[in-house]
Amino acid sequence: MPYLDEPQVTELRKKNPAALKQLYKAHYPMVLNLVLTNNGSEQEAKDVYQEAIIHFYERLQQAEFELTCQIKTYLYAVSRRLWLKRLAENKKQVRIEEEGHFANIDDEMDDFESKEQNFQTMDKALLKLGEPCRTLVEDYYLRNLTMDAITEKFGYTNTDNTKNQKYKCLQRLKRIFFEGAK
Amino acid sequence: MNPEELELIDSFLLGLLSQEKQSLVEEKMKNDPSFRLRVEEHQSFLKSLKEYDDHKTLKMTLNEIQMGADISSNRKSFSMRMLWPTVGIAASVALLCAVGTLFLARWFDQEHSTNYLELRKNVERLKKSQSQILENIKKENNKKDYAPENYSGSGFLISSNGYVVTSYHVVKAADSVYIENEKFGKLKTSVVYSSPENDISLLMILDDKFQATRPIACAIRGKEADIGEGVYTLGFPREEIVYGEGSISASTGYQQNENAYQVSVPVNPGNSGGPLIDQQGSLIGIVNGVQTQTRGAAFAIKSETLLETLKNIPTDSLNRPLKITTQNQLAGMSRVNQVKRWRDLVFIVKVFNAK
Repeated sequence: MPYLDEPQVTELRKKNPAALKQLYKAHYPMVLNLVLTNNGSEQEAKDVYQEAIIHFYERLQQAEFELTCQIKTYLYAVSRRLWLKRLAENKKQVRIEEEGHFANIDDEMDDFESKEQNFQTMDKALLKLGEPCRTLVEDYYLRNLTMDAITEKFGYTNTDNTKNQKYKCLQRLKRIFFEGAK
Repeated sequence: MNPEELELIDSFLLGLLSQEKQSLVEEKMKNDPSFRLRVEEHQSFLKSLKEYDDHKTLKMTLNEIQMGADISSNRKSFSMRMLWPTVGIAASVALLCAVGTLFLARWFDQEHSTNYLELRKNVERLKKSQSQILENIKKENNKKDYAPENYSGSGFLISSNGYVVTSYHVVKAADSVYIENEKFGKLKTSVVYSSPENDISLLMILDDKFQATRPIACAIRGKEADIGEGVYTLGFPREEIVYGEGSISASTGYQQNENAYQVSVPVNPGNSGGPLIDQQGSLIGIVNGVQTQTRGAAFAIKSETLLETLKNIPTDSLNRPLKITTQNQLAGMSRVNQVKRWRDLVFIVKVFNAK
């Protein structure tokens, strides 16, 4: 029994919204305190904390991910690293006492970086793609609308037309995304 | 890729094709590597897109949670409400376990008077050794006089902000409890939580003299020990800390108690509540008794049981959160150095009652 939070982790893996809410509320004061006592504002604490929570939550959805410490320790260690990184970006030097630590934190941070990179690139690419392409792509690939429904919504004359539009939009999105990722 | 192919791949990935066409595409993937590559690339891009969307949704959800309530003030009532179903189940399981173990403990009580001895020390009965008397004289000048305690045992610090674990039977009849060791001196404590069925009590240091230490390097081990593992103890069978070593002899305790080990470590009255430590310097048990009819059979409550007990403490019964280390930092140190780190954390627990 390596950690104490088994039931909570199980609920989070099942994407139970109540568990997420409870998780968020349980550890916020800890990170708020960490950031406030180290040159940060409440807004910055919120940003750092949300990034840490999102990362943790997404990791839990991966079957191969195994939590090797308490949730609290994990969130503290990740938030601490994130905050140190932000401080370094602003050329501020602070030492933060390391209260929680777990063995593979470096891997976690690498994983975080690549995910964050992916998110930012996709965000910019979708913005650059513009309308109506963006909505078309989102409707089909994320909201699971059928081609017929999209044809009607966008007022295209027939589904072949819609297929062509979808193809053009997606190709363009891929091009922008992969250019941005370089 | 062209619009037709994209349509085919999309329908394929969504499972919208007829059985026949579905297997046709699979066939094509097998025979045409460049086609397969296009499918896989497309699939991986869609995964990135999906991840992006999930991430964004999650962000919005968190913002709603943040806005929804003032976190600091509503925290307690909220988390209770959220967890209610879980708590219900947990509580009934706990109740069941408690009833079970209480029954066991009761039965135990009647029996053990003859061949099981709890290791708290009845101080009145013991003649003080000469060295102690000499020490007392030495200290008399700079120390207030305390009435001698009625009982004593051992205990150890588990949280840098002042929580100490000891055996329940050491403190059960206490009016007041003091702890003392070389590093911290004598400190007043109060019993904040007891688990009679596991023979565990948690003390909180009340003295202003005590200030939160650095995070504790000595970890609590969550994994059960194997028979034959070398272990050692630190405790206060005398007024001075005493080291003893041996090994795990059995994975159950007295009367097949699943929550305890049998260990072959020399222990004496006063050792109760002291830590049982493994080769790597992690806590694996709490010394709590000996069998009187068998020489060299002592018992210790498992650290797993300790962790579970601590987990069950309702958070509102503690003023400060427990900071427990499960990451061992003493592994690889020599025994002597491990003991140096541990001895500062081990206390003699002195119990006073008016009786």
